[in-house]
Amino acid sequence: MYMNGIIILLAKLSHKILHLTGKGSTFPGDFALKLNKNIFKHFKMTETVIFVTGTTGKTSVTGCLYEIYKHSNYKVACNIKGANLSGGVLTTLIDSSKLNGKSKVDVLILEVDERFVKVISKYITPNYLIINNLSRDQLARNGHHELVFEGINNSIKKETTLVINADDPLVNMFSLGKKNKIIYYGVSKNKYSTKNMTNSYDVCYCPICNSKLDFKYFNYGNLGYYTCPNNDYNRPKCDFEAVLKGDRVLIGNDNISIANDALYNVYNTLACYSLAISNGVDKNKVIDALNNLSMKVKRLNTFNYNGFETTMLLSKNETPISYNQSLNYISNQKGDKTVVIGYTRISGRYNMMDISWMYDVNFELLNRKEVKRIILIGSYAYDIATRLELAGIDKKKFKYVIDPEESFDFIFNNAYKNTKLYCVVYFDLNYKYLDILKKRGVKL
Amino acid sequence: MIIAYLYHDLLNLYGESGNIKMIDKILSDNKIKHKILYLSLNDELNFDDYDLVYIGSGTERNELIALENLKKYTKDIKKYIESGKHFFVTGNTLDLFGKTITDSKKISALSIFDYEVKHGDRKMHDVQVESHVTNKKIYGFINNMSDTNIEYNLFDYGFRIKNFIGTYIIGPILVRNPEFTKYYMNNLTGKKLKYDLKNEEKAYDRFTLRYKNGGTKQ
Repeated sequence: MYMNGIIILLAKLSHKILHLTGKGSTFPGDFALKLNKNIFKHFKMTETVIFVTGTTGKTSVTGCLYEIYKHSNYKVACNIKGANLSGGVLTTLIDSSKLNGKSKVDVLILEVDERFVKVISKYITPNYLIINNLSRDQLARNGHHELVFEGINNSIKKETTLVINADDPLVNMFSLGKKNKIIYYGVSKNKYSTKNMTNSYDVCYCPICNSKLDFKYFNYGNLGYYTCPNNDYNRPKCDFEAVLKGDRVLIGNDNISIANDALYNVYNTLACYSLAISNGVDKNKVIDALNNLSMKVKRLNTFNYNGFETTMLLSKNETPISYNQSLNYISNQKGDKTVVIGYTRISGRYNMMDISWMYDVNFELLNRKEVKRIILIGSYAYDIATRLELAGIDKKKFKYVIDPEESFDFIFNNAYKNTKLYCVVYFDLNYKYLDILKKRGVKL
Repeated sequence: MIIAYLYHDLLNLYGESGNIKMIDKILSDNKIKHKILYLSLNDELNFDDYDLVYIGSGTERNELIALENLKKYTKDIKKYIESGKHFFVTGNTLDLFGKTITDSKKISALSIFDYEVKHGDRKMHDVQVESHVTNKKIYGFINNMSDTNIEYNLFDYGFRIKNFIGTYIIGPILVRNPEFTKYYMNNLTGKKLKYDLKNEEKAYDRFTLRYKNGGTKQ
């Protein structure tokens, strides 16, 4: 017992020191786990514990909830930098607890990687579990999305209230066969909705009778309004339904502004609103916090260079739902465009070279005459070119630069005249370019 | 040429629509008239009408849903393959064409061929294997839990019986392997076709470099 106190003390100290040197947000947790692999059991949970998981939006939802609770005068802690594996979660516990394991906060918000929900759930049973969406993602590591689904599903305990996205037919499957309290949220048909599915389906058959689901519309990816012809599996009636009005949303009678006028931000905001209201947070405070927050949310990185108005769209390889968001954004912008696509490696996390995800990304969105030129970067440039050709795009539009070191200047020397530039790039190139811009004194 | 892309919305896990896109492109480049039918659970299948049937890979759950559906057509499929018509299967869907699939219990599959499949630990890794039908190695990726006693005769993970070609390699194998694609398409059409696969070949050569240097960046 005392031993655990000492481990936590050491971990806390290590965090202070690392903080001074500006390093590591998971070291204290990793370190404590090494000294006692059961250290999780030492902690006594506070009154409200929230898990946030899903394929995309975890970090945004976690950060947003943190702001809501803080604004409403709760003592609150969260793993705010997206450190969402065991070490990161444990670090948050260490920081927010006393040496005896008692929590110092009222509300603990934990962003949990979707593959780690089953691990963390062995030690912590959350009061609320938010699942914002679930789709194919990093299949070379995850196998596929149903394995991720099973992992989460088998770890859900009956005490946990589920806060789930009703529009996602895979996420709604968490409601099947459970007696848990469930809070549903969803977004009504809006200006972004489409009649037809433009991506690969993750789910389009009824999980109960295997009939094909009817989709009245899609909001994005596999998300939309679905019904089963036998009424076995319909998009549920929502406890919280958002209606888009320009760059704002109405949830009931509450009017909330949305950052970047982006549909994924609507879902993120709605998830936070649904949870906070259900948890009894003062409504006016919630609305107030959300409106203030949307002012603060970082806009997309844009800058002017060499006469080109440029937008950086950091895009995760292997996560079609997020990659498609970037391509959708571009195709929704007016005017002639030069599009830049590239990466130096497929994953920053593992050494595998599967390119099949590129065929689940809807590159067909770039097959339009306003896209005047496409600049392809990195050693996978020809794989991307092949994909674009198969999307029906004329290869005369392509320019190639293999060496990423030369790519920044190449872009601005080869962009099509009088176009706006959109850079769809992975972390590696994104950081490289931001670094170059900083060195050259360009303001973002 | 009528191409049936079966279970396009159910067995669609690893970007395998890329194979259909590639076949479509090459047939178009060679001005060969063709039509692609996107078929699935709700459709009546008429194997007499098809010249090529393609199926990609899916989750283990969806694989069994497709198996149930295909069992209605076992005789038709046998006749189709016997008559030398073209069938192309990628990924774990190959499980369905053997005798049995053993997961938590043993179930009978279509019994088109003699092999048996057991589901064990999941395997996820790059592959580069020698090919018996082209001068160049086959590059691809494995992502399944299937152990089988298939006798591979095209390349490791790939076999051909009459014009049934199956491989456990997932994803757009016809995009990634231009030499194999030429072999495949010439066989499919019975003609020596013309090919413009410059970007595909450059992409392939880059993979050769990466494998040689053991890294992902080259």
